[in-house]
Amino acid sequence: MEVEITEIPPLAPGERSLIDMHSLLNVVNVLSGELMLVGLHLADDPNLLARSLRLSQEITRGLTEPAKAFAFASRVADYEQEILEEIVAASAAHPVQAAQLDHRETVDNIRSVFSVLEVRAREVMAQLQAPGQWVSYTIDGLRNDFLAVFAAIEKNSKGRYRIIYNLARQQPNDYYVDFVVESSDRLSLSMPILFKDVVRDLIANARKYTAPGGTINIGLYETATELRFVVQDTGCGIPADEIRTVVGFGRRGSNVAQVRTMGGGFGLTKAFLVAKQFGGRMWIKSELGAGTRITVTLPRPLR
Amino acid sequence: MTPPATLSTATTPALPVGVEIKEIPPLAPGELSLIEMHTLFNMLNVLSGELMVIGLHLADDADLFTSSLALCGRIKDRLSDPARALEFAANVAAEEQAILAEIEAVRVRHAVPADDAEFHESLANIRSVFRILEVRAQEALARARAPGRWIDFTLEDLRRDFQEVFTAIEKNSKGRYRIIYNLARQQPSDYYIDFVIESTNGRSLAMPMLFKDVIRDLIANARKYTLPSGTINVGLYETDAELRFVVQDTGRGIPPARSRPSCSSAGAAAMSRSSARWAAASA
Repeated sequence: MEVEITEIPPLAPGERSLIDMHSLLNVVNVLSGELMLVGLHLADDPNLLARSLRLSQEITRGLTEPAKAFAFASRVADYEQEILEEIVAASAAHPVQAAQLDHRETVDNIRSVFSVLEVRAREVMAQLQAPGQWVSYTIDGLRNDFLAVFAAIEKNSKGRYRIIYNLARQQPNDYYVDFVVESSDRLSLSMPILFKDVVRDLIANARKYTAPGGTINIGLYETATELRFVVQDTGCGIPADEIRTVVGFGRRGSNVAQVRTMGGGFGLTKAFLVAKQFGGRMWIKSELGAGTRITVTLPRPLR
Repeated sequence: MTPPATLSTATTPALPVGVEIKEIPPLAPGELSLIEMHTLFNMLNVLSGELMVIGLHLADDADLFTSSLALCGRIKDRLSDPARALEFAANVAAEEQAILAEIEAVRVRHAVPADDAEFHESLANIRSVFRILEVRAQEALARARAPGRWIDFTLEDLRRDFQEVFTAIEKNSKGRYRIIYNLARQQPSDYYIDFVIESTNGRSLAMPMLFKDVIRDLIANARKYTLPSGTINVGLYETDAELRFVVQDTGRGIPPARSRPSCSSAGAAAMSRSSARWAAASA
């Protein structure tokens, strides 16, 4: 059953800012997890990097206030330096553990998390400075950006699964991802900066609610009149009577209530609000145990 | 304390049933030849269908092309005899000529106007069916000359070949459905096909000629047993050690009890998806 989502429950204060900062929030959550891993590797203490963890928590709380969120986004490099300094000091205090591969890999991950954070922070600032602006991307550039996102997701799994781009190479623990981007001029397409977040979040959701061994098909297409995005997975699906309500802020399907994630549970909320903000539409088609298909369309602005 | 979770994963199995097929019931005499000539058999069915469409269109008579339909029937009968099947493969051009001659005679007899779009579309389809038949017949003859031989194909040629197959399948639907290659362009009556071919050298791969038929047939099956709006994912990959082909669809599936040893479209949808995987050690 395909359902068009036409409304969601009203948002509470602070929720809109959290949604706007969603892409930062997810990465800061990943950062917190990695910082705890460093503590566990070095001293069997997840709270070893107390100052950095406190800083992450402050950032997370600050994301509910647009002014504080903007201040954070403009100072990512400073936070990176502060956190890396604490890691260096902690590593020096535990030299044997610091020499282990696990620790070195985690520190590498933290550096790559900061690279992602810097990009997202720039996007957030650009969005705040020019809300509603459509930005042009080359098709090759977009493909590369999303391949980098998939690589980051895979890396973050720490070997639990791979992401594969040829079905014939898929092993039982791999996800098969098919990602096609096209536009009528074949060279570039434009979209609101926020929509890139939506694409990323909906793909991450598809991965999250699909078991390894599953398939995620993704299509993005721009014509002269609209931008159309579809993501379809072979995952858990959404109970039919929850398809409309699952889009509410912080809501998840009752069948995945026990799945632990680092997300805030508002990827769908953000997709709906962005679609609405830009005069677009959103549909969800889902079958329990078989998969979910989400379609979002945005009319292109008049030139 | 439990280490912090990174992104968690859902636990629903992606595919409920995966069965390795190791044996099938013994074949009756003639069945192996029919399997070898499967692709020709399918094309003859398409050809017969087009002839019946024209007959219905011109005279409300599906059997209007009596001799051509009888010819198709005789050829199909011959396909279960290897020697006679190859005889047909070597003479496709002569059969084409006979059938086109009957169509021309009917055209004149029924004074078909030059702007009769349906007639001319079917005629164009018949001509393209013969082009494909000629290629398949040549492949069958080559296979007979060197059975078991692995042939090199460039990835570019293979992609183009299969693209043509998809175009022919779509054309044969006479507008009932389209085949689309970007999920975001799919409309409710379209199939979405994702087709990826790769090899370790990035340029070419080798396979037995008969295997090309297998790929074509399994993709056609996936289309056949999936409703429009469905998705068909196809992957082909060659390494130094093996060639691996996978096709997966969102079709009606196969009841678990039927997936071994034979396949059938009958029965209720016990699976929401099905996939076929094939791997062969390289020659």
